[in-house]
Amino acid sequence: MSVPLTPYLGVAAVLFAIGVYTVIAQRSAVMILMGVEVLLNAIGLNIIAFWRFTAPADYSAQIFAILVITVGAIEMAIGLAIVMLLYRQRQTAEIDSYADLKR
Amino acid sequence: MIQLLAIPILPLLATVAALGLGRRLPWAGGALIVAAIALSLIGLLLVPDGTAISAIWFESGGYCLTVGLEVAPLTRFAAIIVAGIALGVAIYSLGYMAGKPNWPRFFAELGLFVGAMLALVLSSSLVLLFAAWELVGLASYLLIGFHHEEAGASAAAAKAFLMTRIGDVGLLLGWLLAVAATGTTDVEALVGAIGARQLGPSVVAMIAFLMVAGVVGKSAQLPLTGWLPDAMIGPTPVSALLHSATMVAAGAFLVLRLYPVFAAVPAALVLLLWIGATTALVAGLIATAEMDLKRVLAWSTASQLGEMMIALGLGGPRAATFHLAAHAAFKSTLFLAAGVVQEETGTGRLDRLGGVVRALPLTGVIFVLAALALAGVPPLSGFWSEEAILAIAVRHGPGMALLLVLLALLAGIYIGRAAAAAFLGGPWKRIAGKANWAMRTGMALLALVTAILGWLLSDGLAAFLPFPIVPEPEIGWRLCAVAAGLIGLGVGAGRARRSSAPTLGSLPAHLGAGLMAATAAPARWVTRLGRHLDLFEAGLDKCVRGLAIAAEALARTAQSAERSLDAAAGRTAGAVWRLACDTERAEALGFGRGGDALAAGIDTGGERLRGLQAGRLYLYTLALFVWAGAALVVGGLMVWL
Repeated sequence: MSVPLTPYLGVAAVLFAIGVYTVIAQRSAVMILMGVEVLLNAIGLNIIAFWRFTAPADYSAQIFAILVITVGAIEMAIGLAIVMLLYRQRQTAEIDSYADLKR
Repeated sequence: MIQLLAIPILPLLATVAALGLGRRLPWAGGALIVAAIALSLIGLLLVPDGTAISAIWFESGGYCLTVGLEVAPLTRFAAIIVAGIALGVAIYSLGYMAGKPNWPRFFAELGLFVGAMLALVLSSSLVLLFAAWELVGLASYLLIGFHHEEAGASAAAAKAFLMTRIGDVGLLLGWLLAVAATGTTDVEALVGAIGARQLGPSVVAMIAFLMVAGVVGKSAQLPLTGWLPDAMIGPTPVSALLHSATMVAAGAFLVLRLYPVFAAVPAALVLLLWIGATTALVAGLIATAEMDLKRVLAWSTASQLGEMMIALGLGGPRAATFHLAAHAAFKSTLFLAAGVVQEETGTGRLDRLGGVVRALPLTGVIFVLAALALAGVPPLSGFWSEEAILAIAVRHGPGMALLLVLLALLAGIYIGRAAAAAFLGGPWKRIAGKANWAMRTGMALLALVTAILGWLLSDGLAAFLPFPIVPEPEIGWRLCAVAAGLIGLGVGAGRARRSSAPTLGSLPAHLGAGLMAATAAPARWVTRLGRHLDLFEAGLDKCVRGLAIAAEALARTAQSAERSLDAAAGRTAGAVWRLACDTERAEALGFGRGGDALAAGIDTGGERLRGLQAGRLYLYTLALFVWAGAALVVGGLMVWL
């Protein structure tokens, strides 16, 4: 038995919602980065699901999925590096304390 | 050259000196005048013939006005007469004027008179001649009115000045016409142009007739005789000079100087002849009736000048020149003697004089000598000159010769009467003893000239005159004339021994009064005309004044209109200014404040917007999602609709 499209979309929507909530509600920079990762994966799931059920002959969706995963990896690497530097400088990873641009 | 220039200038310089320093000089400057005249006389005798100075005064539009002096036979002869007579009179004046008030002024005016007359006779230019002519008139005016504080003196002076001025207008127009015709004022140029027949006959005739008017005025011929007897009110030396060599001689001299002009116009000579004949006759008649010694002599002068005019009119300028010289000598002598009589006795009236010869033998002898010369008794000067005129008249016809014999008779009567009434008979014994050596010297000098001038004239002294010589008249006419003079003397003297009343009845006196009235009447008319003209002029003046006032009012109106226009323009400018100010303020307030408000709005907007920059990462993220969600909804709605 095969699972229809709708549950995939539902799981993706739940993942997206979790990601949004995480990005909005979490105070730690690391947690926010993780929320962003969840958002990217929700999008990747959507792309794969739509490829599988609407245009399985077209491979462009797979390339998109790989790009999204790559972007996620790079984002994670750079983001974590920035957060590491910030932590070293400020001794905190609380995102709200990084308000220097605001007078 | 310098000598020539000095001749007329020396007396004028002496005049200036007498006027300025007169009170400090000996004889109040009189000695200076005498010396100046003597030097002039010597200069005249020394200057060679033909000496001339001429300079161009100015040139204008083709007309060349020259001034110049020239010694020619005629001008030298006339100038010697002037200077010689003036010398005698000036010496006489030293004594006559001594101690009288204002005597420096007298000598100054005398010098002016003589200097002007010398300039007149020596002038080679019409303009200088005219200027000197007017100066002579001015000097005679001043001298006649010398005793201006005396009643009638200033009136007589004004009369002399104005009556001669009537003639002077003729002379002025005449020489202006000559200048217009020839382009120069040179006398020789005019004479040459007439000789070469370059001028139209009508122009020459016009010049001649206009000059005749000048001659008539200056030489006191009818109808301008009236001033001459009245001029007697001046000091006696003035009368002596005025009546002989300086003033009245100028008229006759003008004709002599410009004789070619007159000779070219026979009608002018005829006019001169008849004016002269009438004047000679009328003045001679009046002279027999005058009661004043000096007035007798004055009328006699007019009569003798009439004789000169007769000679000129008959074409005998030589005879006229002779008579001019002879008359100048004996008439000045007569006047000087009469002046002594008047000074010594205090009166000049014939009916109050008499027997003066016993008190003043020298004066009496001199007066009688000159009187004999006047009557044409040989061998005195008058005889020769009157004979020369007679020669011309005889050549012209017996009528004219008879007229001259009649004139000789008249001359004998009036001068015989005057001499007898003043010097003979009568019980007069007292004299004031005022005559001094200067008066006697001057008088004797001129008497000597009177006595010997005839010989000099007949002896060819005047042979150099540029006029033709007329042969002597027949012996019959000569005897006639001399006899007429002697008979006249006898009649006049005889009647005067018995009574000083007029010899020929009262008719001539009426004639004289009538003549004076006749000359006074036109003067009165002229005065009345003048008064009318004055009124007319006043009216005209008022008219012009009204016009001027109207113009002024107009100008004022225009000015006020202009002022109001000006004010309106000012107001406009002010309004524009205020508008500009308002605009500026509006700009400053509106735009500036608007800009400020905009900036402030932007500022507040920025401040508000700044709030968005919360620095809360979650808010940014939320806004991102909300924005994306809204865009999806809108996009979906647009696709669906």
